[in-house]
Amino acid sequence: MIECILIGIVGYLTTIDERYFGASMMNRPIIVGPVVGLILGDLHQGILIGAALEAMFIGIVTIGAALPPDVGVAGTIATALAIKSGAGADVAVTLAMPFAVLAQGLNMLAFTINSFTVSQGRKAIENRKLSSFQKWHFFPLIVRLPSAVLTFLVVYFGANATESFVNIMPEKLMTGFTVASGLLPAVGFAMLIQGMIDKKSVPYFFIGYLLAAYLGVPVVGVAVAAIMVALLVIQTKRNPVNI
Amino acid sequence: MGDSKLTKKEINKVFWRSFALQGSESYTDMQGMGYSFSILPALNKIYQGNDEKYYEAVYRNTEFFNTTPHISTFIMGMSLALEEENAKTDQFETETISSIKAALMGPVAGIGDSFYWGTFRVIAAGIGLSLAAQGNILGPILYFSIYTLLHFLGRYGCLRIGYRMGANAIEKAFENNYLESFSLAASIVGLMSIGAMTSSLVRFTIPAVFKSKGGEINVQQMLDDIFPGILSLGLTFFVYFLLKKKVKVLWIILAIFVFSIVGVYIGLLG
Repeated sequence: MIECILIGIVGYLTTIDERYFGASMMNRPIIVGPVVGLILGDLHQGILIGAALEAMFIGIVTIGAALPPDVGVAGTIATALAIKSGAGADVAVTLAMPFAVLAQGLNMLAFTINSFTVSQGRKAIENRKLSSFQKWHFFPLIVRLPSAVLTFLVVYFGANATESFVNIMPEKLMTGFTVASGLLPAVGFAMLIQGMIDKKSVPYFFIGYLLAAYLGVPVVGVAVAAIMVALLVIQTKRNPVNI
Repeated sequence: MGDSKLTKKEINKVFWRSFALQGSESYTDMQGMGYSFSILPALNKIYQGNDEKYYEAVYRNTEFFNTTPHISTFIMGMSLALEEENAKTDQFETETISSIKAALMGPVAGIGDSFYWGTFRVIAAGIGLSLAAQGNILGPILYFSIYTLLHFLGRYGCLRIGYRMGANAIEKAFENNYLESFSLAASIVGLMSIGAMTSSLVRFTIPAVFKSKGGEINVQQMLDDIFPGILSLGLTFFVYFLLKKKVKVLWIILAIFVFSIVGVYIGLLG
């Protein structure tokens, strides 16, 4: 029981790593494996399983705005289950993926709830209560607790018992969250351009958009092109004769 | 930058706080609130004795922000140099700061992601894995040490470099009367980058296929033929319009949720 609680805490910490510890990679299976192994009294197996999971998950990272399957929680759960059942690294690898996807769902939920967190934080600034604003920044520590509960429950009750739980989650609702996660950045961008755009500068926004949408130029390329455009515009402004 | 106000003390505070950049990350604002949280002690110092500008800056810096967390400090340093300028004079337009942040987040992410999520992590993992696969505890330890060393060097170095570069740029702009051009360039690069990011980060597609006598009608295909990403672009400007009409952000977010979930249930989205 105490072991399971400790492992639940490890699962929780892995979701916190990218949030409050600067994405230090402490949540990667190569680190989490040995930690879970240590808790369960089999460090050697922990290292081996962690290595196997790391090799499998090496390509899964957070790039851009999309949330990937949760490697940390999955690594924690899979290592714990494999060691507890006496199975090796192979079993851990097959166990990990469904839980990575499930924990990813929890992360998406947290990102969604945090839209409210942020508006509360902004309200606090408007009221000039900066300590309250800073507290709101740490409110997601509570929002992330389900990851701890998930890890604990799975490790405590075992994979078979929890599989039926995984199936209860309505798939369409999850899909709905995924769709919303694609739409919500529109709100952020709309707020961002609110202060920057006017009739004169609208074309710049669209040039950037068209370069990306039609030609598939990545953002870095667009930024370099933008610097060139800016240089031309400024030159023209300074020496109108030279056009 | 003899008259710059920030000391090592505030720089160090920003450095440590920046680890929590993604704490309140959300789909709508990503690291926005974390950005403001990270630079708060520096803003406090910069705007000493000017509450009006101080709270404006704290609020303004919660705007949408998203880049590689490890070297996000580069942008923080640079924007802080501009905040100092804003504290000094009333002619400075704060939109320039927003533009610079928006212009930098894409390229910094492009470089940062490939180094910190790509190269550095893979090198560290390569070294660590070869030992860990034999059950050697040095594997994980080496992995973590190598990565953390590169991580801390980048995070701290970029903060200082960004701050210095920002201070130099703004000083030059002032000396040569370039400030207006500087602001214009910032807004051009900022807006073009935001345009590109709108295309790549807002994902709004209708995968539903309607069957009719003549065959299938693929809605998304049709829309893309008219104008690629027309829905994402339309949504962004629709929200922009709603914000102008003073509709509360929370309501917009809720509406997007209801729309997404209902859309999936009736088979339109998904």
